[in-house]
Amino acid sequence: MSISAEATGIPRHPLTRASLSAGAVVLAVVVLAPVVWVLSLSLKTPRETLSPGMFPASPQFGNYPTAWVQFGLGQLFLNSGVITVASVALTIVAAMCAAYAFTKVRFRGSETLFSVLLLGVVVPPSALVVPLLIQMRYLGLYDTRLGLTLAYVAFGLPIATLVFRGFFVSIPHEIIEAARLDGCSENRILWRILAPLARGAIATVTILLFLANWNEFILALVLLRDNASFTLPLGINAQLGQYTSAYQLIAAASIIASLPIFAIYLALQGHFERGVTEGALKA
Amino acid sequence: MSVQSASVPSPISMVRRRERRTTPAIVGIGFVAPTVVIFAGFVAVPIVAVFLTSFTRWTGFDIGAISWIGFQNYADLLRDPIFLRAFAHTLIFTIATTVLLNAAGFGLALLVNTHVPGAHFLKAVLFLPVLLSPVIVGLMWSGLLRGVGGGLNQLLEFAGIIHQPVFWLGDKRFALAAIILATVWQFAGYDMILYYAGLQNVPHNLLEAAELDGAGYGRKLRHVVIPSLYHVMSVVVLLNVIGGLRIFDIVYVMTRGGPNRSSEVLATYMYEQGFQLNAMGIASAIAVIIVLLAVVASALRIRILRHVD
Repeated sequence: MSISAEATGIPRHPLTRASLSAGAVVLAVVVLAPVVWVLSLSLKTPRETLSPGMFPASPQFGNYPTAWVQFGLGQLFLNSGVITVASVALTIVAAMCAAYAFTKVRFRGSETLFSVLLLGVVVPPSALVVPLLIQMRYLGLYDTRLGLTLAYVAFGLPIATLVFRGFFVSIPHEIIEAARLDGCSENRILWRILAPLARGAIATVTILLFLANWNEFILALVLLRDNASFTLPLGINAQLGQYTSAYQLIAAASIIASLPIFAIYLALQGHFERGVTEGALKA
Repeated sequence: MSVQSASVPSPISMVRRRERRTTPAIVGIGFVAPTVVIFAGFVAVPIVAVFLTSFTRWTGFDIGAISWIGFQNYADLLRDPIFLRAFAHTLIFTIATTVLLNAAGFGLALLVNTHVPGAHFLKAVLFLPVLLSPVIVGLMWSGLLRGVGGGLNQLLEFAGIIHQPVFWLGDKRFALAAIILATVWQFAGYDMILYYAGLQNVPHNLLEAAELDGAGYGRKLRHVVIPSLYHVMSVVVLLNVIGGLRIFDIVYVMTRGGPNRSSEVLATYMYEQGFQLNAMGIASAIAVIIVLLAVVASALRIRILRHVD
């Protein structure tokens, strides 16, 4: 810790330290201000949302249940939850298998295959929505949660495989050889020996994909049509036109929709920061 | 290698041979099959398809109604003033957010890395917006920048700077800048976290050597810290650039490209062409341009990194 602090010159002079502290707190307040403002907005009466006052006279906690019902948040949560959990789980299983093959059961052409897969890290999903929509229609997957789930899996696979491959490379080949000599099947080696060792990598990938898929918008916008299958970002955006003046309800719904991810972040703060960092720096 | 193992049966080659026998290629292919099928189906095939359809005139979803028109869509786009504006806005947005995010991210990482009281609170606070959906960030900032009852106007009126509400998002001078501001607010913490991770790997002995040579803070930063961050920097810049080129959701939520196209970007224009005007050919051509820009950016990064190393 002291090493890293010194890396950029830990300030020794108390006055320097005090002013840096003050600067950090001021910056934190500036960054938090929009969030506090939205919290305040979510507790206002409709009249107050149009007045110059920053804070509600008396907090309207009833806005939250009202927003829940009016925005149909129950259904949206269910859809987002099912799609996110299913897509993250599928991506991890498939990517671990692929990364295992790319590192421990190499075959002719596996290198080429891997570099093609890396294309997916660069090509943005938004650029592929036209052909994806057509394909989903032909496959009967348009406006289904399964279709969107498969799209998320496809776009998550490159980065997930990359992270798992990086981890598997670091595992000595002798462990695998020994297991093979003992007659262990490849499946057992992967799931009974490597997977428990890869918990850190699994956490990294889970966090990365959970964030990306829970918050994703354009694929959902193009591939879903019926309110019944909408995810949270899509559902909240769709309500916008109908309740343009109900700013306090939009604010309340936005806060409710963000709570799960905040809760997970608070519980796993260190993992989150490490997950996001490792995911990005692997690219 | 095969010649060597045939003449001298070293232990290593025996292990290799046994491995080859117990794990035939078919096993490897079996393991990659799910990934290959899903990736091919929903990423690789669409990439090829979008290139092909960009050379066609195609309105609606009927595949029978496609006609091959060569480079006509691209030629049309080059003469389309709205496309050219969207292109320019995308470049402005990408450059502005990349520069601002890197400056903010690096500066904030240095501040957090001093570990003064409050630094870790700042780190946690900065990371909160990263967790939010861009849709929700867009809604938040739409509210903050609203004319009547918007947070920024409330603040400016309170401070006596303005007396009439300013309709920030309805003003074509401010719309794109407002989206840039919201994006920088959301992702400054992301860049900070990456630079912070990079700072933990600055070689300590180099810093000590520089200190012994009497180097001050600025010189250490310039000659030791920044050079050892080149790799991290290249990753962060590339991620910001790719993120900028594909920007869609926050623009769609905040302005829909308006007012009067003043915040139109490539992805929002593509969406309008494809899904509101049913011009799939034109939309595909715009998509191809986005893909090519992203590929060029990552190729450039590889070249520059090689040059630096």
